Amino acid sequence: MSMTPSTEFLLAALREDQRLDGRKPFESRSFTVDFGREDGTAEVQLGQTRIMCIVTSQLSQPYPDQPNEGILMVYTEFSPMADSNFEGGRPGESATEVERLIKRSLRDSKALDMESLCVLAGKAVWSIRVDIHVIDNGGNLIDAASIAALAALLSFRVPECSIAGAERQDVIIHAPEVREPVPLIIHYLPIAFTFGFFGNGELLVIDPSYKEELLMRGRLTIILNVHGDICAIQKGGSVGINSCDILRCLQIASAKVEDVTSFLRKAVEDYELERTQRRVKKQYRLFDAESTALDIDFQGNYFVKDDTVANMLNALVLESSSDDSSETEDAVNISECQNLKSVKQEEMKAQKLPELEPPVQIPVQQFFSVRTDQREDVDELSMDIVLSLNAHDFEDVQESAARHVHSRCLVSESCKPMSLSQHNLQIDDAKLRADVGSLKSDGLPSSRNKPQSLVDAIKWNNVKSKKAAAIKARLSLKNPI
Amino acid sequence: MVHDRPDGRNPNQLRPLVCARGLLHRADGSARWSQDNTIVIAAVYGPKAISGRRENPARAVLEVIWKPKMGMAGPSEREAEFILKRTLEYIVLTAMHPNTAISVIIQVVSDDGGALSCAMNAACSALVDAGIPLKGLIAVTCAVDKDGVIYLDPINKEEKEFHGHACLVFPGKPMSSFAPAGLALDSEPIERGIVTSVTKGILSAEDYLNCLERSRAASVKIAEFARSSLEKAQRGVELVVAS
Repeated sequence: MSMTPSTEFLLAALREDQRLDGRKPFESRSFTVDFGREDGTAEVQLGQTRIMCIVTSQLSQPYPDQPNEGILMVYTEFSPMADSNFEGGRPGESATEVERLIKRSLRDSKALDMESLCVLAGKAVWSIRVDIHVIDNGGNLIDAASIAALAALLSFRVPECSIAGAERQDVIIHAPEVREPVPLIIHYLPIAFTFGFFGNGELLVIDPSYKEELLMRGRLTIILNVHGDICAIQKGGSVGINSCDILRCLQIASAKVEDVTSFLRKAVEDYELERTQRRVKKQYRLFDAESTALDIDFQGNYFVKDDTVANMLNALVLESSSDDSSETEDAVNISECQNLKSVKQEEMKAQKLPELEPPVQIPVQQFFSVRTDQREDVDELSMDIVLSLNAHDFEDVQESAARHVHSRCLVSESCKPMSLSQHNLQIDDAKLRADVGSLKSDGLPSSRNKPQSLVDAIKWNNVKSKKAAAIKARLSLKNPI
Repeated sequence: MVHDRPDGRNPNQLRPLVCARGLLHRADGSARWSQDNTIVIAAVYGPKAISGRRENPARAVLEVIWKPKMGMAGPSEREAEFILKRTLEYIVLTAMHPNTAISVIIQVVSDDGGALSCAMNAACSALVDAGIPLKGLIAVTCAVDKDGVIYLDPINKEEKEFHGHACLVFPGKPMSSFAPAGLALDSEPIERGIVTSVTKGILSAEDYLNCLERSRAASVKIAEFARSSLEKAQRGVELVVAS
């Protein structure tokens, strides 16, 4: 049980511009954003505060007075996990306050485009449900909740649907495997900044921590966006504050909003990159390096999965051909992933190639858009890539990469696949080794041990993709096409 | 016979396990247990004061709260809470803390099959993290039976197609503090018996016994993993303290 700090100590410290955790009065804690495996799950850690947000969607009837607009529902759960004083069941007043603030900033200020959620006017609209779970209470739940909600909404995808039927009244929702779900349209990001007041309202701090919240006498929350628009101002608490103090808070908030917004957007971008990589990997998950089953009876597995390889490649072609930009992005990521092939898979590849059946070649060709007379090399290339995608072993990267690169160069010279050559097919052997070496010595957790937390996994992926992007940039400079 | 699982495992293979402890600051103990895409966070508060008719002068009262990923808690959540409560009552030495309450709160972060077993493993790790005196650890696995073939640690897709589904809790391997010289003929002094067994669907008696055997073997692995993860965390603390 934490002791409540004495008020005199806190006030005395604040008068000297010192806070209990060593921050200056207008210094916010830094936050981290982690995304879950599914779209629309985000976890934000702001100091000791941890909030998880999950976004889901459902097709439903619109409100009668707004037949063209979607529905946004926000539920906040102050879980008993976060604080022993929180009780389960109906949300209390602070939970309701957080809920209303987030909903107002998103819907009433038109940050989230509600009209794009309309499928059939008056009959079917998307209802977006935002569940905010407070997992750890370290103070300043509103700010963390707003960032978590935004991160989850930015990463969420709505399934694509189309109208069919004789009278164009039936709605068909497409599964994510069939048609890629679409992201929500969010015009800007309303970020919340909370200030706490102490004493007689003359002492202000931004981003109060748990202990400060216990002692503060008033709270001011400002929600604004990068463009300087104020989405909400909410003041609560017993003490009155000067209007010039409010203006000062506004200025401070508008100074900080840009950093927060760019950090959030960057985190979402990194997540998008990882998501695309994962989507490509999923198609080829048969050859998971982790599973020892392949050692035991991989021959059996392989034979069974012949058709499934073809089906999955077909599916990938369908996916990628429907959206050109995603195709090139997949190609980029595949070539990034190829750096991570393991020796085990090399052996499997050597043994498996002869068994490849003709039907597999056709979709692969479309995907890589190569000339038809180079069939065998393309198969080799595609099988390489198929097998390399799930490698996690950094240990064997150097030797296998060198071997890999050698075979890759042969292939690229013979058939020069058009979409891939723009990315890094002509690889300089030594360059790759150097890059791979630097990647390995980066002090990343060895891939043999699974990352202990989602944060590590995301960090690992971030570094990986940054390095891959650096390699790509360097090579595109070398080979201007 | 070649077995085809959607994620490429063979029937006897478990998903990769990750356990992280001590992630929450307010809670006395917390753990996050993930089995690939099924992730559950457990938090433990206690022993803490309790008053009213719930208090028990002889032992601590264990309460479990299960928070689903979205929506309100319904009857299936109540059932899960009840099962967890009875299972955890087996290992927690409640007599050491009379007149108190120990709360275990489970939050499902993502569910891809086997959430109940994941939650039980997480709760056990969280109890260790909170320093609640325990009789032993538990290890939980699930198995699905389809056409006489037992698949361990099923994912959501497999769970939907099952004929019979069993979630089994076994006591973990007890580690004695002194060398068991000539203690038992059995090289592995595992406590025999099942702590909890929850089944759904139709299972023939033979299939159920097969499930038991397979799950017991798998639970040994899980118990080893939980123990080694705890030891690693302890070693980390010792290093910090020593330096």
